[in-house]
Amino acid sequence: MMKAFFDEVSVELEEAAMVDGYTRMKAFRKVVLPLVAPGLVATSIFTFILSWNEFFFAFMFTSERAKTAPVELMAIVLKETGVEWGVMSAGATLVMLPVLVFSWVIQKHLVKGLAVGSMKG
Amino acid sequence: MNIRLDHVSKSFGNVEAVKDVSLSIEDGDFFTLLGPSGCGKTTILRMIAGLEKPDQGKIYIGSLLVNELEPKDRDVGLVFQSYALYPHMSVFQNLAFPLEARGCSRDLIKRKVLETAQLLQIAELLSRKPKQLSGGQQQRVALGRAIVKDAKAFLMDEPLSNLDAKLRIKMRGELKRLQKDLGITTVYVTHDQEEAMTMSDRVTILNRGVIQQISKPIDAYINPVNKWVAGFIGSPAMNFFSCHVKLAGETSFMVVNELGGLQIPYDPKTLSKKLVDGYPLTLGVRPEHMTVTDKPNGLISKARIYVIEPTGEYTIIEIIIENKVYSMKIGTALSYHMGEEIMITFDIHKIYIFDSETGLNLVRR
Repeated sequence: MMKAFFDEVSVELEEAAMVDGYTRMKAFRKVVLPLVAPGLVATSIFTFILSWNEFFFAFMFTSERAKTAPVELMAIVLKETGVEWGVMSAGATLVMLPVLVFSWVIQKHLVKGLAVGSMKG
Repeated sequence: MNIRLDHVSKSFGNVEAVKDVSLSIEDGDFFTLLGPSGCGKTTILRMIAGLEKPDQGKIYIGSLLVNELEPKDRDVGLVFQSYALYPHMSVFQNLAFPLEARGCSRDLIKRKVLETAQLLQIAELLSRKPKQLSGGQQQRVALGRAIVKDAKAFLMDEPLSNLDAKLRIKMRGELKRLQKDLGITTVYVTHDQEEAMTMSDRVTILNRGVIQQISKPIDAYINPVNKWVAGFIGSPAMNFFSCHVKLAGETSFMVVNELGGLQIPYDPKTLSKKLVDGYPLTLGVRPEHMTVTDKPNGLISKARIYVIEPTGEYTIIEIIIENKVYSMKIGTALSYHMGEEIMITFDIHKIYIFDSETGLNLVRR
């Protein structure tokens, strides 16, 4: 996912920084990273959501000691009497909350059109 | 600072971009690399900057061999065709960037940036971001970034090609003036031969990675070294007529082809080869040396007007002779019509003579 954002940054910007007096690494840090910041933000939201909601591996590995929320939710909701819909809805809302808060906090760093205007044509 | 390339070659995979190029740029020269797309001129520039490494050969900046030197240590200023301004920084920060890389003090940075901005008349734009500038203003910032660090040389890759026509012509003069005032060795890449002619002290003309000619621009026009250069320099392009020698005498020689024959006066001493019977030649005639006449010269006579392009200052007429298109450049206020048949001739004292096989110009003016 980050590759697409890195590809957006023209290689000439890196080269300009190198001619201006920076090594490849410094040029990366000073020029490329600030420009892919929106990409980093988008990727981190995506990654966070993915791992937060991840069920399969969590179920396999954490049923005993460090149960994740989705795994625990399934455990308390599935009873012999059927699915406890009330608990399920409440639990799902609670599980969604951290993701919503995280995205809301991070969104103001998603600045669009940052790279527009630096290159002609 | 002078710059020297010694037998430099560079290939990208199977493509030989630069073939055995040697050239020498004097201190303070405005030196242009001219040629069509893909001729290797940008590759040469990038090798001088250090962004590409030559496969063979040596590059010297001053007396220093720079082949292994990183771009950051070469102390050159590079102006990209697309400007490559840092979009997340203001104009001030863009200009300060190279100075910060050197660890200059805040005060020195401020002073130098202001100085450069004033020189380029962009001082009031310092707080703006690149996307808030016009093309011309962006171009000046790109220039400023090279100027601000007092580089040993400026390397410019078609810096004017993204500007609109009027601004381009204005900037030509300004750039040339600026370069003379600053006195910094400048290597300039362009495919626009008019740009090269008007701005350079010397020009290197390249085709497919091979140097065709290195000379003053006007010499490339008057004394092109071969048919390719002759056709590249000058707009509209030179007209070429194939023929072969029929009789070569002391003061004139005769050429013939399927259109007819022509007696051309010459001084055998000015030719680099002896003309013998049957020698295949290509005659070159610049469009401005062709005229409408009532006395055709024997080689070409009748032509049909294909298209008329009046520019106000002069008129270009494209004509067809035996299904081939040629160009004429004549004065204005002449009323011809497309499709009309006219009689034309050319000034036989102004023609060029090329060897049909090698393309070499046989005459030295």
